Amino acid sequence: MKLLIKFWHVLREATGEGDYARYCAHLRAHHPDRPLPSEKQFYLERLKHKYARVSRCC
Amino acid sequence: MSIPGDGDPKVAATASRWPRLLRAAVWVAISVAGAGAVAAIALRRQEPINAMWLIVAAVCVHLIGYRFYSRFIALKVLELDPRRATPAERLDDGRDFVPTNKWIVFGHHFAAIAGPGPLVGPTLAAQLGYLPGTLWILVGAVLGGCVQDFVVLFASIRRNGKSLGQMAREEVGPLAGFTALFAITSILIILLAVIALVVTNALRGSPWGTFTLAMTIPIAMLMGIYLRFLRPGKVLEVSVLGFILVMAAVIGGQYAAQSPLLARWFTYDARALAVMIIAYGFAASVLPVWLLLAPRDYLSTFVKLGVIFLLALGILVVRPTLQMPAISRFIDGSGPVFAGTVFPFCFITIACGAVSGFHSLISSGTTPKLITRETQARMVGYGSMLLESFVAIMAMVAACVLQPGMYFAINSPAAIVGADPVGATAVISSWGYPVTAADMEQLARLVGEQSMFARTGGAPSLAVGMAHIFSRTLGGGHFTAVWYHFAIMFEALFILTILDAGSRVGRFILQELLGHVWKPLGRTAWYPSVLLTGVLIVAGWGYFLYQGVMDPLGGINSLWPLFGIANQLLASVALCVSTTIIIKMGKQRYAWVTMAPMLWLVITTQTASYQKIFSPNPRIGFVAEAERLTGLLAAGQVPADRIAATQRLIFNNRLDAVVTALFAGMVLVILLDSARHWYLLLSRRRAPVLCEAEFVPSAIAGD
Repeated sequence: MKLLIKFWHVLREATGEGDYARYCAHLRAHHPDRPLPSEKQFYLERLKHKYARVSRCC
Repeated sequence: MSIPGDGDPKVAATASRWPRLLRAAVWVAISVAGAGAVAAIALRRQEPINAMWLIVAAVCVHLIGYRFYSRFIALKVLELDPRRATPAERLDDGRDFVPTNKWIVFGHHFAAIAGPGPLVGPTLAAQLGYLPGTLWILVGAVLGGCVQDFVVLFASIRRNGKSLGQMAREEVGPLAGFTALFAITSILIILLAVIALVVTNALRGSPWGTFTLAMTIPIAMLMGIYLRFLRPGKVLEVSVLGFILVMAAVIGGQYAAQSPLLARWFTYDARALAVMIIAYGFAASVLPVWLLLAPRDYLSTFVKLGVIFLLALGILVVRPTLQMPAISRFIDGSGPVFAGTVFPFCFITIACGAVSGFHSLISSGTTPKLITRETQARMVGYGSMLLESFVAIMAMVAACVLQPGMYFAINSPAAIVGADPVGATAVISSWGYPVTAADMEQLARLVGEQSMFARTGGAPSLAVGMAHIFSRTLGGGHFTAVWYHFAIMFEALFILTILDAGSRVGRFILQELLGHVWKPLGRTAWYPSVLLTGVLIVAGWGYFLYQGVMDPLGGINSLWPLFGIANQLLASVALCVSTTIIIKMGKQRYAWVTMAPMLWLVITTQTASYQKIFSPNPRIGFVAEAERLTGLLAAGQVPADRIAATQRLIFNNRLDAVVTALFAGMVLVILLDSARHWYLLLSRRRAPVLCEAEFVPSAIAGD
């Protein structure tokens, strides 16, 4: 059971659920003067960026 | 004692925990097992063998390749430095450059490189029997494809994540850079056309399949809206929801197929489907990314990974017997699925799974920006291609569990065997692969389709093989139809994602190119530019798709070799760049590591290109086919209603010949230009200048 929960957490991490929190932490640590983006904005920007280049193969 | 270059401090500890003798014994055992399996395959040619022999041989070859060859490349050739900070560490911006856990990087990279290629290629190559394709998948991957992915990934890591095109320009020269860009754009067009053709051929005349795939569009949009407005970032939970809905669509398709009203709404011939897919491709590539593309991408990635895992499990549980012979009679080049002898066409037919140039774009994409330590490039670069090679082996197994007669009945175009079931089965049986019309009728009923004849393109026969394996693992024969349509849906799902993503990328590349000509076109957000470039890109692949659909030989026959040649053109570019970098690093005595696979690819692609253009056999040579059709027209042997179509066919064959010549020419150009650079470097007429980022010691402790 614990293994399944761990697996679920790993999957969540792999699909990027912690990315927003991590980015905000990075901003606060290195660029405290910059405003934090909203969660919706952050994920939207990431998507646009991801599909601007070759991301999926044959 | 730490082993140089093997950056894992834990290895030093484990080295003393496992005595060297024991480790050596393990590897000797693996080698013996692998050799034994290969011998069993080679020697028992007359009777059907069990698929497990192929699986054991593949796993052993892969393990040995990874343990010895990739290690050799990591330690001696590239000298991966665990003490050197990677761009993820140096340029950490919390978004694109992020030091990430190596398993997650592996997962992302593998999900990015694994597409329909390793599934379709081996299925088509099964025409030659299971042996030629399997040997190429194993040898090509271990010595070629994995090496390419690994070296390009390493090169990109050392250059702050630069793309292949940039590296080609900087390390080799502007000509190489331009060739790379041209190769990328053209392979994109052919790739999109060919996978769209695979989907079209799988769904034509199939109300169940068309219904299921049509439903995935609103399902993806629902997921997209949910993800954007309700629960941003919660990819996992929305994918679970999406998956449940898609499974409902797979099961519901049964009722759509059985209801006379709905069946009429969802049954289309290849031409209508092609038009719809082209329209879809255009619409999807101009719609916002969060609405359709991203949710579909998440869904298809999960389904893809899940199915690969399930298929491996299924083969292990069922241990099916391979019905296809080791070598079929079609190595002589007269095969119905694709024309051409084993050499060079087996090597062209299987690109992804052995050597695929497209992977070098992924290896120099987002992956290098996530690598925490250089030494992880071995597992991510070499390892994930090895896994894809294993997927290709499983696809070969799934294709070969079919009765050969059935395999050929599904994959032979009507132009070769005839459209009538009785006549077609008679022709196939006369080849030595017995099958009856009743067998095919029963198969069609079993999988819930009207007819399984001439369902070319590899996807349907693969789905039959997979359904056969899955239904024997879970659920029994009652669910074969559901498993079949699940397998079709799973392939069609990520094919549509690639059509979407690929058209979008093509649009960006085109916008950038046109922006040099007229500035406003380069503005990616300007709607007229978006529309114009969107139309151009989709028209590009749409034209080849339509051509393929109208081709009486089924389209895969002519388009798939074109795709293989284009893909391996890109691989030649990637390997040329890699060789140049290795020479510049002072490792010229190891340059054969990338040069040997590159030379092999040049030999096969040039031979294949030559034959596709100049072969006097109209089934192989484009020019010969154009001339044959011209002769028919001139002799008045074409019925009046087919004259326009025949003229289009003549034009298309000539066009294909020109495109092939272009690819072949580009390979020679890049080879000659690179050879010139190598000569200058090796004779010290030019100083080797590497464009690597500066060395900064890594501050990240441990693994």
